[in-house]
Amino acid sequence: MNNMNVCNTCSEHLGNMPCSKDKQAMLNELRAEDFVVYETALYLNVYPNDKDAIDYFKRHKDTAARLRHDYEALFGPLTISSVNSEGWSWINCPWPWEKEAN
Amino acid sequence: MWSYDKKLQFPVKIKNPNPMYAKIIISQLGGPDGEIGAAMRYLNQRYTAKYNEIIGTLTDVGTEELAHVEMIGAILYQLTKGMTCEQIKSSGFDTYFVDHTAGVYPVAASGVPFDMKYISSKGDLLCDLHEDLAAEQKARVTYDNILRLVDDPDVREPIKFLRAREIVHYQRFGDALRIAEDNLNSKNFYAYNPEYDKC
Repeated sequence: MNNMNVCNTCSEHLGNMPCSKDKQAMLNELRAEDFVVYETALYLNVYPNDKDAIDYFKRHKDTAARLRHDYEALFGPLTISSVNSEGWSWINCPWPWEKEAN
Repeated sequence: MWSYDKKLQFPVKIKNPNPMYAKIIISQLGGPDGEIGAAMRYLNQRYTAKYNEIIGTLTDVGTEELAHVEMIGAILYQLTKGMTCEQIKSSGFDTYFVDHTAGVYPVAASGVPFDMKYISSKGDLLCDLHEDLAAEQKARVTYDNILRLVDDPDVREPIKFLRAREIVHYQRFGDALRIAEDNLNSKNFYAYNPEYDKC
């Protein structure tokens, strides 16, 4: 754990957060899983009766939900409806287009 | 309606500012074959489209294009953050800088601002699907050209991802065209416009 964590964007202390390498790894794993779900949806839009594809979609949707839950528990909300904090964490740094968010 | 997922679809992490690259890549934001045009094209074509598979495809590919608009914005933001005065002057980015500083404003590499005239929404299913197939190829070619001009691997990675997505979208629109034709009279696909005429 890195106690010296300071946000490069707004210089706020991040406190006892996991180190940024873990955050990056977890976010990239979630990105990949969300991508599989979306790509499968694009396929199912034109092949809606492919039962194997629907099973594949369901499995990856469940994995993505789990990864999302785990990521948000540590690093904060990715959607407004998952805001679950004392303060209004939705507008916390960094924003997705900053280097620090990737 | 849209909900916002507070992460980029694919990571953008560029170590070295480069306004010369920004000058070129901005065409994928405000240019004739860029992501804003793609999103506007598909999201507007879908209202009168027919057949659920096709409406779903237009909606979901259009939505993904909005995510790509964001990725291009992120690339431009990171390429111009911390650029030096010398870089601005020697890159040719000065003609954009004078009007927009390091702000992100959708223009083509030529400086022409985004124009809705770049897209077509003709209200005819077969016509619009052919437009969509061509649009994905034009976007793919634009990414090919960017890759010919850009060496930095940090920049190449998200660009290669976006290029691959154009090719997949092309496949999906091909599927949509097949579905449209399957639903029409094989003796004459053009007997009527399923979006408008009563059959």
